[in-house]
Formats: sequence, structure tokens, C-alpha cells
Amino acid sequence: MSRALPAVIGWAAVFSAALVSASLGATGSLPSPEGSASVAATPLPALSGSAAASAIVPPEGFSDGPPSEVLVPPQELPLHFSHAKHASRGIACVACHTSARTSRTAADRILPPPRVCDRCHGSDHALLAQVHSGPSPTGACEACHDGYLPSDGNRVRRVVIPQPFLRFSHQAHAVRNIGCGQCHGAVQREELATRADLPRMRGCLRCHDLPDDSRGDADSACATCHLLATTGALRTAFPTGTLLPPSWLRGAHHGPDFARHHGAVAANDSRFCASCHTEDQCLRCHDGTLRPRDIHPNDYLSMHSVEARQDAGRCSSCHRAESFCKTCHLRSGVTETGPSWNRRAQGRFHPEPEVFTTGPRSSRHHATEARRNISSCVGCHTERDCVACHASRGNFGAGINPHPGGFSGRCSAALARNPRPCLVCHEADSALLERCR
Amino acid sequence: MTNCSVGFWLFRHRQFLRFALDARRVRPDSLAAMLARRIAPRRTVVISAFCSALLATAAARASDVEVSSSTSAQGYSLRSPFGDPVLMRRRFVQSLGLTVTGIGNDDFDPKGPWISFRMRVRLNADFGVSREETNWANSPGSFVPALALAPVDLMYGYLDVRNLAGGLLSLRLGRQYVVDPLGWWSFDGALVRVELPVHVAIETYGGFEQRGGLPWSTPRFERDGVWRGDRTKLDGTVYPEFQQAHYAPAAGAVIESFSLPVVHARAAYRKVWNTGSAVTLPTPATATSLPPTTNGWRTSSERVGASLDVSDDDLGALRLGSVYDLLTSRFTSHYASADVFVSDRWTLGADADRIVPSFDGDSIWNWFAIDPSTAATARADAQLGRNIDAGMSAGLRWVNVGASANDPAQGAQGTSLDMLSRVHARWRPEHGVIGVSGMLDSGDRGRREGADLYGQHVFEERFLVSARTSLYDWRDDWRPDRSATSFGYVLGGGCRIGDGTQVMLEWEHDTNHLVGQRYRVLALLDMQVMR
Repeated sequence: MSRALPAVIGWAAVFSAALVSASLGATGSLPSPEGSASVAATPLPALSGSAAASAIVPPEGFSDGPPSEVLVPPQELPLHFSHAKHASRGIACVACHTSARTSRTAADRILPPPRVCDRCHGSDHALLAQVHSGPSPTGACEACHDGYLPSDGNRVRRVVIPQPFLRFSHQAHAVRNIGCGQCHGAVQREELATRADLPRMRGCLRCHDLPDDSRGDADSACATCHLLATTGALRTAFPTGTLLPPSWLRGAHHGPDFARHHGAVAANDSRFCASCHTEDQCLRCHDGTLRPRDIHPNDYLSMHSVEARQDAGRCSSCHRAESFCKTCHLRSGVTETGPSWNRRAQGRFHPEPEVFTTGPRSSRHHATEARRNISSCVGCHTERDCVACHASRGNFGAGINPHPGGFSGRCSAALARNPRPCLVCHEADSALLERCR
Repeated sequence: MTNCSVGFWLFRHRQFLRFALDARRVRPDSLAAMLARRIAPRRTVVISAFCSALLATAAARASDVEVSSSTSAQGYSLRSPFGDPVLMRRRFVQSLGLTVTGIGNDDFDPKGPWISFRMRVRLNADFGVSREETNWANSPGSFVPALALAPVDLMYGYLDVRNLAGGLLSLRLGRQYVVDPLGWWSFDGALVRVELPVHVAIETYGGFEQRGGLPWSTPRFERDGVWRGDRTKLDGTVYPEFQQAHYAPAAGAVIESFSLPVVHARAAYRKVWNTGSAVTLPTPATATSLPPTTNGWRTSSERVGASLDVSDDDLGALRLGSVYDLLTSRFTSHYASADVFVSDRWTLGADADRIVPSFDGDSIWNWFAIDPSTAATARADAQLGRNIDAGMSAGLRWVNVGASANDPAQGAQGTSLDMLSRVHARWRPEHGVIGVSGMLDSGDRGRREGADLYGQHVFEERFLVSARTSLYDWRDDWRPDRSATSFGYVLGGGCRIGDGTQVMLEWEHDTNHLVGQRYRVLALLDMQVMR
């Protein structure tokens, strides 16, 4: 191994060990490692989540499906309850949901505690280990607790409402006189309220995306509702899965083939992408050292030449031909230029010379190939290979004109902006250059 | 890590330091000397810079600090299409990132300045590179220009200041990226953005383009077409077409809309200059004479681009963009992409682009006759179930090859046509994913077709197993002997250790008649610590 190896190992060892040590010794919750995960595999879900608040706006009129299971995990509500019956008796929402006016985080439990039910139903939940049913049928345990059997004694199925991974303040909305129905829709006509009655993002944006002057304090920034990672971007990795944008959100739906056509989205508004993504995630592919298998499948090394020959220009979104491609081609002996020992056993890579070089132009002639896909030439050839024939330097080059038709009309500007390529093929005082000057 | 200090850091890592010292049987006071001996000077500088930045920024109370590391090691072999040589790739890549947010904003004020610092350095080593390949003096017959055993680069490192002047002004200072219709680009310098109260922002930036051959840099972001790098240790007659890298001043300006409903537009201009000398004749007159050169500032690239997004939550989205190359006086790119939300579950789309390859201003290839490549694709995405989605696309790519300017009598060569298609479906149950993807590309230069079946499963919230198998067939019309059918599979596993450490191991085995059996082992270690 070369002499640089010890230095490399030292470099890596120092930091790996330091980070391992720090990682194992760290306390407190850590972010998901999504940001640094390999492109070769989906990152593991986060193990810990700094949960926050939830809840948002009106479902009516929207057909966005149920709320995200990533942000609002599925709940277990083994209860019998009718909002419609209660509402028809003129009971206001806040009569039961007493904390709805004051809650400031999504982690708060807005569900009424059972003592609230006791007030009307005659039951007694003061001691949860010793609950007494009420005198009327509506006070019986099974009246509210789904699946309850008297033989179960004092045991009922647990209500499970996981914390949503959102930021929300009921209080902030209540003090602005935003009624419950404005966000939760016509709950007063429903039986048991479920996740389906939670507002959707599009509903939130009805207010939060209003023009500045109209929305007041309803900030439209993503972080108004969504949690942020330490990097400042939106947190997208949760124990419940990965947060993906809905299709309607500026057409950025991350479908299974999104990686192949995300270029226009990123090129046109990279700040929008930066809402969730950091540079690291882009760099994994665009300046990466690991092959993303959804782009380059297994054994791509063996088949890459076919794709490059079809259209090498599109490889440039991740690879620079003069460095990435050429270095490897030089080493493997594919190129005309390069280490002599690599070229020892070299055969001819292109079609035979009478077809590719000296013969009349055909679809297999090198001129045709250069016109249709010159980027593939760059991955192997240096200027020297071209100018040997295309230069017109008196005693050097065959003077075969590679320029497109009409070039002489714009050669003056080309020469003025950068004379170097002109001087490769033409002598500085040649008549051709004089004409361009 | 809000109370970070040198003492705290050393205390936290005392066990590692003790281990390191015991293992080497050296006295503590010789640790620095040991490291200095074993770590090349340039890497020492990088490490020092990283640590300094970490310690300095961590000293700011109320800042969120995140240090992350990503390490990959992989080994595989690469056989020349002629059978020999066989390159042994022994790659070791480690990147270290530092993010500090909320600098100087102890009592978070949403209307105050928001300052953050980000950097990531990378070691990109390949122990399969032989010493002979990087040393011209001792082994000229094996030397490969621009090849390095273990280059280190600063991927990015910048101070980001936002929300100045009541939210009107923001700036970035350092090595940073710009992503817009002009491409994915990196430079060292400053960027200033002013957001005017009329939903229009103006950006201007200046500095130096990141170029391979310069310290801490890669050639990834410079224009193609010039073989360039550090040739300071090479004689002038050796590989004269391999150019010495010089600093490349760059400047740009952008006008962009922001916070407008429905519409977003951006227009960008950027110019990069080449400086220093460049060889103009890659074949010197004699073996010992130095090749002629040209000097001075000259255009490397000068382009203007514009893009437009129109989106409606109920109907769909449309994206348009164009790039005009002022150096070559032609449009080098047009693209359009449209999505139509047919229903809650179906999105139909179409993409089209027309690209003319363009190169660095020093390259001769800008001035060769080049015909544009046009591609048009239609696609459909469907949400087939709660956790099932699928997509498919099909299209054409064509190039109309023109007549030779040198001999127009020979006429045009007609149209080169490729057919492209993809299908993809995946099911994402609660703890994993199972998917299948297939493709078929067929055209004048060959054909590729095949499919992948893959799956991942996470259990106990910390262990992951994955598998992928693939079957591909390709026909190389230029080299029929290079046509083959390949079968490959990948088996992987990983786990999370603690809260921020993730380890993965993958084994890949491919087989085809060209290379016989090819194996690849990949190990990954990702860590995020200190928050």
C-alpha cells in the first residue's frame, strides 16, 4: 500500500472513533440519520422523536384521503360516542373539550377526561382502578367502552392516541375566534370523531397561504406546523416512516420514479427543495461515491457503455467526463491516450477504420457519432486525437473542417471571447484567424 | 451541544484517547507528533480547520450543533473490456459534516438574524490505485494524470446569514452551491440576496469556481471539455493536453420571484473566466520542446437561463426553462415538464427537453458541429392503495444528424432514434418496502432491458435486512461481442447502534459472460452526534 495509507487510516480512525465514542456516550434524543444514510438503502427509521403538537384545518371539500400516518399515527379508539347526540342537546364543544382553548402543543390531550362524562352520565371515574357505572343505561360501562363485558371487571380497552409529529397551538387559533368547525368540519353531525376529522394541510393553507396582508399572523412557513431537523430543514424521517409531499404541492409528488424526472423541479426552484432536503442528500448522487441502484442497477459497470453511447450528455448531471470517466478509461486501457502498459493488449474499440474514420460518412462514421453524441467522445479522447486531422496548422493537421455550417459568421465573437480553442487548430497569424478578427 | 468546550470534548473522548495512546505505547505528549507523522500535511490542515470550526462555533451558547460522519468502504474489481488490466477498487470514503444553527440568537427572535454554519469535508481514497499510477518520475509508463490515492476536498463550507434588515437581506459566505437552470454548480465566495417587498428577489454572487487540481477541490462542478488538474510536478512535455488548473473567477446575478401564489420565475446569468496559461498545441514540435501556450483572462462559460413554474393545487403543474450560451451564441437547453392531477390517485405527466452539449470555453469541442438531442416522455403515477404506488413512462429521444459542413454533398445522416420506457411499483408496508422496476431502452447504438426486484424490512425498529435481485440483458451494436445477459443479487443488513449510529453491510454478486463473476462488498457507517 502506498505511503498515504497510514495517513488515511489515521485520519479516518481519529474521527470514526471519536464519533463512535461520542455517539455511544451521547445523551438525549438524536436526529434520524436520514441525512447521512447511504444511497444504497433506505435509512432506518428514527428511534426517538421529539414529538410536538398536531392538528390543523377543515376537511370539507377536500379529497386528500386520511391524514398522513407518518405525522398523525393511527389511533385506537375503542369507544362508543355520538357527537351528533351531544350537539343536538346544545352541548358546546368546549363543555367537554375543556382544554381546547388553552392547549398550546400537539402533545396535549384534548380528549375529555372521563370525569367530564361523569357529570351527566352518573358514572364515577374518580379512581380508575375502581370505576362505578352510572344508574342509567347511558352510564353503563359498555355504553361508552367498545367491547366491554361485565365479566371483564374493571378493565376496558385502552384508548391510544400517539403524539402527532407536528407543531400546533389550539390556543393560538381559539383566541382568533377560529371556531372548531372551521378546522374540524361538521363534527356535530358525526358519531365518534376520528383521525378523519383532523384537518389536512390544504385546509391549513387556506388561511396560512393567504397573501401577507390578509393572513395576519398565520405564517405560511413550513416550520409553522412541521418539525425541523437540526439542519434547519424540515424533519422528514420519523419512527412512523418518511414524510413525502402530496402530489398537489407544486407537483412535487415523490412517486416511485421521481428520481428520474426531479431535475426540472430542482432547477426551477431549489429553495423549495431545500425546505426538506439539505445539500448532503443531493450530493449523495450528484457528487456521490455510492451508486444509487434505482438509477444504475446491479452490474451497471458492464452495461454502462451502451447507455453512454446512446446519450452520454445526460450522464453529466452527476459525472464529469473529463475527470470521472476519463480517469477510469485511462486506467483500464480503453483510451488512445494513457499509460502505455495499459494499452499493451488494447484492441480496437470502435468500428474498423474504413467505416469509422476513412470511409464515406455513414451512421457508423465517427463524424456522425460526434455530431449526435460528442459527450461520449470526451470520456476517452483528448484534443490531441481530434486535432491530428482537424487542425490546419501548416505542417500539422489535415485541415478537415469540423465546424458547423455558418460558423464563419460567428467566429469573430468566439475568438474575442476565448482565443484558446482557435489557436489549437489554427496558427495565430493564419489567414483564417485574420478573417475572424 | 450547547456547552461545548475543549475540556468537555477531551473528557468525552478520554476513553478513545487512552485507547489510542495505549495501543501505540506512546506518551501523551507525543500524540501530536504521532499524528503529525501519520497524517499528511494537507489533511492535517483540513482536520485542524474542522476542529477549529467545531470548537469555535460550539462555543456559541444556544446554538444547535450537529456533527455527522458518513463512511463507506467498498471493494470490487473492474475488468478492461480487453480483459486486461483488471483494476482493483478498494474505496474508502469518509465525509464529516458540521452544522451549527442559531448562532448568536440566544433568545430566539423570529424576526432577528438567523445565522448558521455548515461544512462537510471528504476523504475519497482508493487503495486500489497503485503508487506507480500517481508518480510520473518513477513510472512514466503507468502514470495517469489527475489520479490521486486519497484526495481530500471541502464539499461545502459556508456561513449563512438570513433575515437581516427586517428580512430583506441574506447572505452566504464560503464554498457553496447554486442550483438553478444553469446547472448544479459550486463556488467559493459570497452570495447576497435581497428580497424586495414586491415579491421579487435579487441575488448576486462572486468568487471562484471550484476546480479540480486546486486545494480541497474536485472537478465535479467545472465545465466539461478540458482535461485539467494539478500538473505542477509534471514536466511541460508530458501529457501537454493535460492542463494546469488555475483559479477561475466567477460572477453571477439572479432575479427571482418569491412568495407568489401559482407562479414562480427565475432568471439567472453567470460568467466564469479562465485565467493563467493554457497549452494551445497538445502536440509539441519536438519531444523536448515545450508546447505553445496562451495567457490571460478568457471566457470559460457565460450563460443566461430562465425558468418558469406555474402550479395549481387542483389542476397540476407546469415547468419551463431555457439556457442560452453567450459563448457559443446558441440555446443549449430547453426543457418542459407538466403534471396533471387527474384524480386523487392519478397524476399524468410529460417531460421534454432539447439539449446541445456545451463545454468549457477553452475546449475545442464547442466549435465542432453538434446536433441537439431531443427527448419527450409521457408518464403516469398512480397511488393504487394506501401503501402501494406505481409509475410508468415511455418516450422517444432523437437526434437529427446534419450534413457535413466540410462536404455537404454527402448529405445528412438522418435521424438517430431511441425508445425509452420504465415501469416501477412499490408496496410500503409498515416496516419496509417491496418493489419492482423494469426498463427498456432501445436505439441505434444498442438496447438494454431488464428488471429489479427489491425489498427491505425493518424489525425491532433498529435492524434492517434488504435484498435486491436483477436480470438485465443488453446488446451493444458497436461491439456485439460486448453484448451480454447479467444476473445479480444484493444482500444487505444493518442496524442502528445507539441513537445516531447506523451500520450497514452489503454483498453484491453479479455474473455475466464478459466478466464471469463480479463481487462487491460495501460497508457503511453513518453517525450523527452532538446536538
